[in-house]
Amino acid sequence: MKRNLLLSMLLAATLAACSSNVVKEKPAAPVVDSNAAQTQSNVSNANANDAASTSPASQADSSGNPLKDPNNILSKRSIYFDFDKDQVKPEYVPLVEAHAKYLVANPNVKVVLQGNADNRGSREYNLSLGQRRSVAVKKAVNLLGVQDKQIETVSYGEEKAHDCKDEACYQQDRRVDIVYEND
Amino acid sequence: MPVFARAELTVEVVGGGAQQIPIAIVPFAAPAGSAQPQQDNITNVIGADLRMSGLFRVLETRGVASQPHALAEVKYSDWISIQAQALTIGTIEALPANRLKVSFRLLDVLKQNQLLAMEFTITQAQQRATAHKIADIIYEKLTGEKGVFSTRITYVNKENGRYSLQVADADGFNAQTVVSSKEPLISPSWSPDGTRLAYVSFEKKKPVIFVQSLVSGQRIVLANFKGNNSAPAWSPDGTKLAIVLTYSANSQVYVINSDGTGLQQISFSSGIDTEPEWSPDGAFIYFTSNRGGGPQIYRMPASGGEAKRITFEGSYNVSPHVSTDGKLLTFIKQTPAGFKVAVQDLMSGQVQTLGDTTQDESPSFAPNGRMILYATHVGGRGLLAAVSVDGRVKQRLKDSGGDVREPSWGSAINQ
Amino acid sequence: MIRQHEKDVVWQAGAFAVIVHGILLGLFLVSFQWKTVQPMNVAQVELWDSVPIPRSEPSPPPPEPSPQPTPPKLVEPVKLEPKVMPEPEPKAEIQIKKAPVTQPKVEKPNPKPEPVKPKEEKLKEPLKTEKTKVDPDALKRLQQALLAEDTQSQKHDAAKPEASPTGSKTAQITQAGSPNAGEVDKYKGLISNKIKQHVNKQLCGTDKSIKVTFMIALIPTGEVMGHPKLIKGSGMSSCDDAVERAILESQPLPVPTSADLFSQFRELNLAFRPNDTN
Repeated sequence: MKRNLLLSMLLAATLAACSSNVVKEKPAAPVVDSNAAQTQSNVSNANANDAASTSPASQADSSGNPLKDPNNILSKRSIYFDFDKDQVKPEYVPLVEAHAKYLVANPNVKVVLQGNADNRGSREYNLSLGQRRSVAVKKAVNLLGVQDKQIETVSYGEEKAHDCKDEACYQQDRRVDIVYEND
Repeated sequence: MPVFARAELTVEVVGGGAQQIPIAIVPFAAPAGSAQPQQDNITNVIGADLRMSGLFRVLETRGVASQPHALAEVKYSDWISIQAQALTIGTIEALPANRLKVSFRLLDVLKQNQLLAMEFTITQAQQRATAHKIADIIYEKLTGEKGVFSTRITYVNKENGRYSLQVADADGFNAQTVVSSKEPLISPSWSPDGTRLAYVSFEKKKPVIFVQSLVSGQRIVLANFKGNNSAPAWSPDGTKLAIVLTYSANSQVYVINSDGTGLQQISFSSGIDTEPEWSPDGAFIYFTSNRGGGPQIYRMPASGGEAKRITFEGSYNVSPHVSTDGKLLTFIKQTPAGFKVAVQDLMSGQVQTLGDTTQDESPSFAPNGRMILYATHVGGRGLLAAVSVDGRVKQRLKDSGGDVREPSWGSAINQ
Repeated sequence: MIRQHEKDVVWQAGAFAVIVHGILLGLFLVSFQWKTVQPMNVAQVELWDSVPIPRSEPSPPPPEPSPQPTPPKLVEPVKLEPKVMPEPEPKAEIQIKKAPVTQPKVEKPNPKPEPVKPKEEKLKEPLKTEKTKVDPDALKRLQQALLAEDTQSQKHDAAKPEASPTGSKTAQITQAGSPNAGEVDKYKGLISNKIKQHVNKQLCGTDKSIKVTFMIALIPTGEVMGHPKLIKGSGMSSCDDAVERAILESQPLPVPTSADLFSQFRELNLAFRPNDTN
């Protein structure tokens, strides 16, 4: 019994060793040349010329017009807001106060408060948001004595916004510009 | 031999696995010597339309042995072997006075019979419109729904510093300029009969609403009140528009007659109420409001009254549009990935975001409620895209090369 | 045809073949035990204690010259089981053995007092009939029965109400027993799944309660004879058309090959619920 078993195992082992190596000729795999077309994304320069530019001319104008004097806070014309918000932040209060003072002192001078938003979300909602921002600034100067007849509020919504990739860029678009008649 | 009643077996089939109808469109026989630009080729336009619907798989026919144009030439076995279920064949014949006769047949490959046959006598210029009409007929016969291939869309194209409001075929071809300006144009809205467009123009240095006839080209100022005038939306019966004014300081919703008379305020919140849209039965107005903090979508009776909140997922939901059957709402939803087109079932409240783009705006339904047209940004430019309501089929419309935004799908048929 | 460069290889291949065959043969001779020693006899003796002893003698195939007393002879037909491996015929007995599982359904109408006798008789008869039948047929039945069990456990939620009555009917019609109930269910499941793949429910709206029923006439090749007949529509012609297309697209439908079973599929009701989920 045991001898048979051993013998069969040996035979089985030889069987295994006798497996033939069949060489199969594999057809050469076709080489697929895939040239994925690289789409070049044109990143538009975000620094387009903005008609209602907030940075005043750099030359120092000390000929008396405080609005154009770079050393004067009045030469700053923009108030910036948080996303989906229309509250004037504390850091811009001095700026608002300065312009309010000037307007009270010059009751014949008129300003347009232009509200803007970044380009995320819907155009109509952003139009409304821009409007609320300009109204928020108007209310702030109202409280400081400026008359309604000196102020006009408009909104451009996201129509002047840039195609941004980062928060710093979006931040620049969320603003109200104080635009004087003679600007 | 036992005598037993042979009862019929019943096999139950629950659910279904197929999603598209495989259709083969054999290129129509064209008159000899006709020079047709590829994209005007009737066969190609029909195929592109059916493909765009998402309900059809348009099969390649070039490899099939026979290319029949007449019924007698059809060998059904050829089409069975490529697994077509429907087959379209046709001819285009030249007629005197530079006209054409276009004939086509729609055949059922499995039952091996004709479903319909039609012919049109047209001018050369009407070829695309005829192809769209044939696609509508095929679509309607096989799906039971109305086709939208003959409808029109409108959108704003910004190019070289100019804005132009354009009207085009549903596939983006045949664009015509309605009005052009150096200042922004936004929020175009189709009148229900498709003959007029209301839109907002900044040409007076502030947003003002105009209504312009597409037939005559004439326009009137609908609203130029103090402050902003924007977001016009026609009532389903075409007699009134809902608009948004900042007349009383905050953006609020008003209703006005289509001739500019009869202004009436209908929303009274202390926040922003905007983007009004009528329900198809004219009973309600859906709108965006941030009365609860961030912008959400609400609904109030069309004559004004208590508003009911509709969207509850997420903190920013804007731009509502309702499907013609009143069952679905599409809007823009802010997600961690970005601003996306979404669809909400108004009965169940279930919300689904659609498509694979992340800077979406301005969604509107196709008149048959199957697809949503919207604008998105790719590479710094605005592009038009469409997505099927179940999110399965996504596509970009013909790229005009400009910066396209504010699309709106109209129900009017292109004549 | 032998090409030139392959001639050398051919001789080597031939030699290897001969060697391998030789080794195999050797293995057989050396390791295979032709003498069967059955310790299992003891357990099976318990089953068989009555009359059929004389009947069993003509039936057992391989000779079992065991010097044991009569009871083991009883066992002979069942003894074949351990030999299942090399021979196809005994495999059929697995089917028989499993028949008792479904038989209780059939036996209810039968007289209760003698459950053992009918069992034995039924077992004997199939054994006889199996012998006289052609082997491939038996093999096929076995395969189908095995498959039927698999499919029965996995699918047929919808077919369940049908299972018992059809099962009993088929058992009455064909004496081979209720494996056929499983077969019928199996084919119903195959037909259902094949057609379902082609149903385009997008054309049927969203109402879950929508039903469409067609009646079809089938020929043995699985093709539909004539046109499917609409029994009950959904109210939407596009939906009814889509379902009809799905039926036609699924040809040839999988149908049983045995005439007896196919006869039940000659006229088939197809009940669709395209928007439902089960």
